[in-house]
Amino acid sequence: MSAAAPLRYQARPRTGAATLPKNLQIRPTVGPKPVARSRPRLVVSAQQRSTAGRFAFVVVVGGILVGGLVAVLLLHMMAAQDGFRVTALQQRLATLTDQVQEQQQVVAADSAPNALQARADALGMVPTTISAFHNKGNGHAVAVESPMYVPPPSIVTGKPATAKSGAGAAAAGNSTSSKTSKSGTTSKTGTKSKAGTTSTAGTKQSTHHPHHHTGR
Amino acid sequence: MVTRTAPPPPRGAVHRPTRSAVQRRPVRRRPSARHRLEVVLFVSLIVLSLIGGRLLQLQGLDRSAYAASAQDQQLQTVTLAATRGAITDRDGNPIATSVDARDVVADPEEISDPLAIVDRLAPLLDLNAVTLLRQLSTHSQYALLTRTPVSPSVADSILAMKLPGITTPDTTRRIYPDGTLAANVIGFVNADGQGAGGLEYSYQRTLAGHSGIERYQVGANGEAIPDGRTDTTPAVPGSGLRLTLQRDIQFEAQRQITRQVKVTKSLSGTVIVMNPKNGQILALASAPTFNPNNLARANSKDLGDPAVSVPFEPGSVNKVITMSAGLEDGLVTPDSHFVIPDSYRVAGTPFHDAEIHGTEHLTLTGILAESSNIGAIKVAQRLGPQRFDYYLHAYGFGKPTGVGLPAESGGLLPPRSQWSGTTLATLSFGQGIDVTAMQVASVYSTIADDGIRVNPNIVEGTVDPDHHYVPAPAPSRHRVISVQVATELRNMLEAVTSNEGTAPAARIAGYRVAGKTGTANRYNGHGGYSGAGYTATFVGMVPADNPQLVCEVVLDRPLHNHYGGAVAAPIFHDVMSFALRTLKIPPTFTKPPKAQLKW
Repeated sequence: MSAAAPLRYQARPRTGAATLPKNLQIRPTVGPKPVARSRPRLVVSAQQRSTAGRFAFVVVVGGILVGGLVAVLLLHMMAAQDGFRVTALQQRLATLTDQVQEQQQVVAADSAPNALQARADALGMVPTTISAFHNKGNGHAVAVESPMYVPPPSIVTGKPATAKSGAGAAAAGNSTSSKTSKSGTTSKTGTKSKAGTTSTAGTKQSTHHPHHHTGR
Repeated sequence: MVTRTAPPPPRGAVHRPTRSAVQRRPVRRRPSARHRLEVVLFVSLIVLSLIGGRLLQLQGLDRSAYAASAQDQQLQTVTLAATRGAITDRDGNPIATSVDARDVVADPEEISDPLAIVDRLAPLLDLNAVTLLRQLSTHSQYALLTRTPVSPSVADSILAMKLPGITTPDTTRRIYPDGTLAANVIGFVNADGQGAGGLEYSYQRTLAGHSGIERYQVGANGEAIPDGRTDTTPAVPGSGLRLTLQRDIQFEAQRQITRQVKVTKSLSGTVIVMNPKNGQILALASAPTFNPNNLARANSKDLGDPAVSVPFEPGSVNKVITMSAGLEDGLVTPDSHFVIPDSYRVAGTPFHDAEIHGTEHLTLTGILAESSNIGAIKVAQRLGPQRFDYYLHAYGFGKPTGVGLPAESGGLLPPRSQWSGTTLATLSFGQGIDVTAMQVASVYSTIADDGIRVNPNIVEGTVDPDHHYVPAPAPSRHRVISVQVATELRNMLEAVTSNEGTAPAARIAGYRVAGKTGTANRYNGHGGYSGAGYTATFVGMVPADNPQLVCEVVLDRPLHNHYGGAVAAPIFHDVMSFALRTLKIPPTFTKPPKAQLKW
């Protein structure tokens, strides 16, 4: 370290060394005595700023801010769009739910027993009755169904008469004789009729085939 | 390196530029950080003072005005209606459901041209134009235009017309898609959607659910603030009911009884079909009935369920209790011999059978098959009042069955302490006691189930809003008579449908049928039985040796022909045949026992 060159900065003397009592201070025993030299003063030097660096900094920060703002705006737009879409879909869902319910009501009304019977009558279908059973054993049975005679609509009232299975000649026990189907014999059922009397007058509709059902 | 700083002025020297040497330069104070800070501070002080001043103005000066307008900003409370539970039959077919509908509401104060609105709405909603015009011309803010809510599609078409002052708020409507099916059982709802009759009434709490509440902020003009605070407690929908009814059997029973009531010109009629093994009611039909979709046209007399609410004197169907009591107590057997005169005196009062006859020799089976009143009296006399009263109570008379329908009557069973000398006699053949059709069906169901009385029930279970099915608690059951006595009784009852019995019309081809007729005198309302007509009944069970179904038919005051075997037994035959086929119950292919009626 040359004593002639001025120093940029100078280390300040340690306070410790200056306050140490003289008998403890380290003094070189040999060598030349240190020369007192002038210490350069600490002064404020001019800022070494480059304008290019400053400009870039401003641009970067501004760019981040603008970019952030744009991003937030975009997110808001997307959220608003989704919000509109949600509302539109909810309205559509409500409309479709209403339509589903209305169709369900139509289905329920059409499957009601009175509606089914009216349509069956209109198609010319007739109710059936079991005319015979066949015992298959093991608790299984086969029932032979035959159509019930439905009288034509009465002329006076114009309403179609419902089929009545007159029970006047019902067979007892497990005999497989066919049952007479007569209409309008409700008033006669009080009389005691003999079992086993069969009459083919009632069982018309020979074009209909009897249906076989397997019971449990 | 040489620094560019100006050399400091020498100490001690005063820097005083002379006027001549140096031009007076303006002091240029470079913007230091401290200066910028001061400027910002100054600006923000100005802004804050503005805000402070505004605060003073709002809170201090204009305070009362804003407090008043804040009163208008209240929380509006709206009730969220709960969907009512549906009522279905045992297969899940809906009999009563709630659907979304809309009311049509007008704000007459906003309507300047009511005639134009009447022009468009009256034909669409099928409303009286004059009434509608009057409704729209009042000085009110609310007028409900539709009595029954309209479907959403109709409401949307009304909204599309953009009529001023017309809105269509949401509501629900109760519909009964099957019309009159089981109407007496299901009941109906009133204008508020609350159950007012039938199961809709007795299960109101289960079906109704809990309504919710929505609170939202409204502005001064009454409009909801879009981003305002909302508190919502959602509504809890009601649970649905699954009934034990079978829709097809119910329909057939209703069809048959309606026709027979009309043909016989009866006051009313009832059919009950039940499963004796578990007490489930498969059909409970009454005539006349009503359509719950159209209550305005219903006759208020027809809104109840006579099967549980209207007791009657059962007549001869009660003889089965007399017989079963005698058999169970070991006092008689099915072949016990009895001498039946034409007239029999009890406590000075003569009793007769339905038909005049000479002295007959009948077995116990013969008494039941020919429905002899005197025979029943003789058996009851062997039994004694105490035991007879015990069996009447054991079979469930004197108290309601608790089947689940509202307004159920327990009938009228005179307490034993009030019995006169002839009470035992009249009770033995079913007069002097009032019972409901449900109670009678339960008696025969007990005999059908080998002596165990299972309480009748009509609700199989409930379906909670999450579509989980929860079965109803099992019905109570207790033994009334032994298996052997029940079997003997069924054999005796099978003789009723023989040619010598009172109901050969009840026979069903292929099956063994056991049952009992009843032709009871009706009380005329003033001390006697004359002139009031009869109650015709028939109760039967099929197949007789292992009954799967019990069916009861009651006709209240049929005219012309009033015998149970004549007017009730054929309906039993038709309904029971249909039920057996619907449920695919096969015959037992066994031979009926040879019944000895006379000795």
